[in-house]
Amino acid sequence: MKKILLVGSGAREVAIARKIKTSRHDSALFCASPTKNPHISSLCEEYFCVSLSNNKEIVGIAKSSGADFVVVGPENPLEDGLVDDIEKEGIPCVAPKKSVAKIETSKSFARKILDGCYKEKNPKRKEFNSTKGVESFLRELNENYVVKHDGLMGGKGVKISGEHLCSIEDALSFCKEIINTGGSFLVEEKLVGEEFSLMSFCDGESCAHMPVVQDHKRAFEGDVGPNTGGMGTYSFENHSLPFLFEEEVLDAQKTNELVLKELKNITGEKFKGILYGGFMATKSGVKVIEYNARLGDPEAMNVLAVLKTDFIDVCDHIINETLSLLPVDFERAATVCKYAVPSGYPGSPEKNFKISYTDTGDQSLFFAAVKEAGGEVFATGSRTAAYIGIEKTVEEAERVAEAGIQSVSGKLFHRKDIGTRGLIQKRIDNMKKVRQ
Amino acid sequence: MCGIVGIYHKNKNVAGEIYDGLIQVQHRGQDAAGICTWDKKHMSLYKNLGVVTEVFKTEEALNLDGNIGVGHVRYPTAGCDSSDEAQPFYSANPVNICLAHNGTLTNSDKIKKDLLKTHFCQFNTESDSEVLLNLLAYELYKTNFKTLTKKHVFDALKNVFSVCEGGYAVVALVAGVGIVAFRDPNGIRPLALGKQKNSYMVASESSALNALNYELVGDVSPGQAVIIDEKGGLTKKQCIKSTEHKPCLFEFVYFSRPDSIIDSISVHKARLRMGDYLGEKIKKDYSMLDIDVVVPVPDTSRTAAMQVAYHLGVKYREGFIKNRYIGRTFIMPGQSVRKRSVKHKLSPIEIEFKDKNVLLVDDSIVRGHTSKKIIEMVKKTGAKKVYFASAAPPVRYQNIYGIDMPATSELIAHGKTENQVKRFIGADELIYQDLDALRMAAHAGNPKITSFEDSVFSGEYCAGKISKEFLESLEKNRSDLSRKS
Repeated sequence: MKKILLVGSGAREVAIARKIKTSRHDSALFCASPTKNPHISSLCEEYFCVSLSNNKEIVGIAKSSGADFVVVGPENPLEDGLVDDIEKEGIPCVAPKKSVAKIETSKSFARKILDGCYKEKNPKRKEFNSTKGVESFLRELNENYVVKHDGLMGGKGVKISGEHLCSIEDALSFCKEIINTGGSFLVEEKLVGEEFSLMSFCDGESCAHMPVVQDHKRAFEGDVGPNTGGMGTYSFENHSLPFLFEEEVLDAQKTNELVLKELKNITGEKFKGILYGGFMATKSGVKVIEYNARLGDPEAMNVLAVLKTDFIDVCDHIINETLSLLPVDFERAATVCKYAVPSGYPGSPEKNFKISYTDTGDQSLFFAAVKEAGGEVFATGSRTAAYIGIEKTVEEAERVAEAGIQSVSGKLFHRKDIGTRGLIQKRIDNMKKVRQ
Repeated sequence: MCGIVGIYHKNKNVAGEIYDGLIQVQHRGQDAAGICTWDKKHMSLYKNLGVVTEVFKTEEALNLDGNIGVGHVRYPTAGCDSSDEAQPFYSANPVNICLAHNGTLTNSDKIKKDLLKTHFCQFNTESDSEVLLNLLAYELYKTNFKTLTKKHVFDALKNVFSVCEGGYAVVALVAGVGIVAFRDPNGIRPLALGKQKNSYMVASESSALNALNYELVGDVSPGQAVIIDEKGGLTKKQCIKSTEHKPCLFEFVYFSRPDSIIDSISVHKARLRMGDYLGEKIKKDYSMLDIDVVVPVPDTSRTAAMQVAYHLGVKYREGFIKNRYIGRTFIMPGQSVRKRSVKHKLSPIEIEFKDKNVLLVDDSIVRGHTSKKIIEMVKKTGAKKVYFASAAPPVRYQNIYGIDMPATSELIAHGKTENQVKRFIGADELIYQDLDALRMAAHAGNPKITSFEDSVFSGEYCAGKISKEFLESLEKNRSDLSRKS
């Protein structure tokens, strides 16, 4: 019997909890998170409502529950050194320590790591902590630039020329905004192409790569509107994407592998957990947009849905640093995951409204930012619920996901276009244009 | 443990091919062999004590007519080791049936009692295979057939499955129907199906199919029956719901040939992974050991030992010469024979051991005598330290599903700590594989199989209602002591 503490309670953590409970190993699951997600609490022995920044309390829970290991879902606790604190007590974690989670928490650190191991993957860039020299660099980049806050901003610390920043003046004022909060920032060449994510299980020494996934950051159909945490994702049955060449996927895998090794070289610490490479396929090859130190949300739903290898075995092999011994396999199935989010999301979302759905125990439905009260489920303002379709083809998976997400009602909206033939064709065409 | 083979050919006599097939599963049992064939009129059966080449050395013995037949090699796991109990077993009622069985029925006494009461069965031996034969015959009779068809056989098997408990893989010859092959609802014992242009073959291990140029079609599923009829048609039927597929873990550790694939798991690859995990464990938990050389105890452990050496970054050497004319020590009845044969079987190559810290790797430690003798031998050559690693965890409990480990009193690790075992075998350090790692080594080959019949390590018996009394009676009847008397 394995005792496992799960930290976090979004849809990603529901996906993790379900993989744990369908493992061939018997397990007792505990969860620590500020809000009670009914999809996790129903699988738990005990649910601890606790702030995710309260390391001391979470360490106490890990000890008192007798956890054999801890899985940390979200990124913020990683920056706060939660893994360091838990491992000090002799309890291993499937998540990286602070010094290596820095690959996500500091954008400039990530760039330096890449410089050290595979610098071709970095775009042109400069770091700043004042506006000095910013303007001339912006002009040098021919107004194709990205300004990135050097820290965790929940996916909202990045602004792009032509999208959020309409002029050099706009850009400079965003830079000043960052400086005023005491932060530093990066100005990078804007990468043009198609984005994709490659996540890899890592035991510090070796990687087991997951299928490649594409996320949709923009709130509205046709890729317009503000950036969000991710409105939906899809993956193909061949574990690649139709606009990518096999060499590009292999190159992304190689990048993750080199980054893993470089992290150990530079910090002396092994990165144990999930390394998430955000890539752009460009005319001049695959480039790194950013790195994350955890499973993506919604990407977690796509990849865990097709993970054939027992999830607890994967965790054990990460902890024991024997991942290279474990054949990590994925079903040859396509997946489409769609999020339903509150009206007004992300800027000024509706909050605390009731959502209705037919509770059939459907394992394809994942609650995210919800809370349960008096037997009813309320949306709390962030992304509300995700639904995944897992089928032979993306078209079929999309139909299942669309029907599924429509069955959740309330003051919600979702993107109907994710995973549709039309949108995917647009990506293929765009990539063709980029490659010319 | 036993080995079974069944072959159908469109028009050729099959006795010769069955003979070849039995030689390919000879490692599963060397104490008796038998073949039965059917030529649409007569069943011809020949069986005797000895290995296949001894039993079938005369022309007459192979003069078995028929294009369809079954064969068996035996090491007795129930009953005693007389020639009467060589298999296949034959019955003429209600039709000619001949049955070969690998495994053990844990409730055969009860079945026998019921058969004696309700049906005019005669039993000539103490073998549970004879019980199984009579049960099948009785269930066929109960179907009230006029002309026996596949449907009657499947109906009868439904009842056989629901009555029988334990681990069993069976090939039977049923006159007028064909070859009937079936496997217990947990799939504990292996049974593979292969095909050629004009013929079909079932065998305990896929390596036998390969050797005879049969293409592996797949495994007989747990609780499934397969009939190859007299016209060469193949029919499969799930006769009872499989509760949980739990193949025997010891098949992967020791019994099966490495070139076999059981339930889609390559035995060779499973053994490689056993070495991987064992190597990593030694690297992690025993880093203080200064190991100069890794030496396998031939033959089974070679695959794992190579991986152990690889993970430790230490050289791998063959340090023993094996006399290939002596059988496997494990399956020699009676410890006195066994003790002698260890010495005769393995000779150390002195220069590989002298003044070195040696890590010996074996697939498992069952009775401990072989390990003890080998360590004594290696120490005599002047080795500095002798460490011993087992690719399987401690074997602590008796096996009741067809492996000849019926008495816990014979198992060195039963009721002992690892340290006590270490002292008994005289090793300077003893490293056992963890059970979870062993399970993982097999599971990784087929993620669909999530658990195994591993009672010899865990003491948990998955099939049948296993009482303490049953285990005790087994212990009493089958320990070496009672065999000697």
